[in-house]
Amino acid sequence: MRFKNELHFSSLPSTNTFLKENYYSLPNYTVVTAKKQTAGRGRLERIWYGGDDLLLSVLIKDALDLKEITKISLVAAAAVWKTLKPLLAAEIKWPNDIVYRGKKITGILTESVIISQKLAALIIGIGINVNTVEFPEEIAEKATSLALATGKNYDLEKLKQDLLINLDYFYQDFLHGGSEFIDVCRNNSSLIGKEVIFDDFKTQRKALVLEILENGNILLEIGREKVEYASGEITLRGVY
Amino acid sequence: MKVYKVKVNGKEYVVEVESVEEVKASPESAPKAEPKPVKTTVDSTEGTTVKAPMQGTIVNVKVNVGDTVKRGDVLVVLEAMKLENDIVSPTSGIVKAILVEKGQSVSNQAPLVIIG
Repeated sequence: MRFKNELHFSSLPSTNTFLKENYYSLPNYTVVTAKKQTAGRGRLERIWYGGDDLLLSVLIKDALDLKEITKISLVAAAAVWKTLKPLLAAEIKWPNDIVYRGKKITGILTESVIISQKLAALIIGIGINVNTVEFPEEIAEKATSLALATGKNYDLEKLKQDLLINLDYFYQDFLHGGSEFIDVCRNNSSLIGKEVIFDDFKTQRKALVLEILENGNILLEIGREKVEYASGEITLRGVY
Repeated sequence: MKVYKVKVNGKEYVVEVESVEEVKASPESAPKAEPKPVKTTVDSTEGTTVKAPMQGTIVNVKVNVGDTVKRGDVLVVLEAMKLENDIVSPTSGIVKAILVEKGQSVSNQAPLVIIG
């Protein structure tokens, strides 16, 4: 198991930011956990809400091929999905949100630091809503937690160990050019057959999700055209 | 925001040009005063050109033309497949040109920033 060197904090502005600011001096595969994040960020600097939840970030400093590193979002999504599988039937909203009955239960923020066309650090931040039962009004409709979904409380330490083992497993698969992590994302997608609005930061278009491809990209039908996308923001119409 | 180099009486100026689309939206706005750039591309031999390491979307530009940066300072954030990549400066120097703007799609190896 790679992810053994753990640093615990009772409170941090953001576990991802901590690793980004300190990656140079920290060993490869360092795991940072925080009981509370005071400035947790989601993607694109959205605020992440954290209560009694599992918040961690892992640092990877391997010399990975830059052409391959976008797949790390899928590695993280597969690891979370497998961790939650014994607890509830979650689905993956391409590429890396985990949802339960249309509500987000886990946020994943993957970041990298690239210098002179080389990877200096890869950081995977994962926040699983575990024991939080009340969310701020503005996200209450879109968010859920393990406690809300199942009526039980969970041991964060146990969940963390499971998650790190699964992350290690799918990261190993990724390193060896495997496709098991992609298959998990393909076979448990919340988006297949759904009409979505595809937002590429400039325009919003209606599209039908056909499938998640073997390379991890999404195949959409827009009008009568089939279009493959690797990056962008997918939003389901009407619901989250 | 686009950045152009403009030559006036033989002297070179770096000019930042705001998007004119916002101006269009206002009926009372003055006639468009978009400067006609002498050249819209910057000679890449003047400094270190930082290029996109992969295809993606620019989600943040962290520096301005004229800023002093150190090696390791974040220049732009490039998103691909929900992976946010901090593209950091490989060298210390001054930001001579920014060739991309927030929201722009870029291809692999597209020039992003020139550090001189």
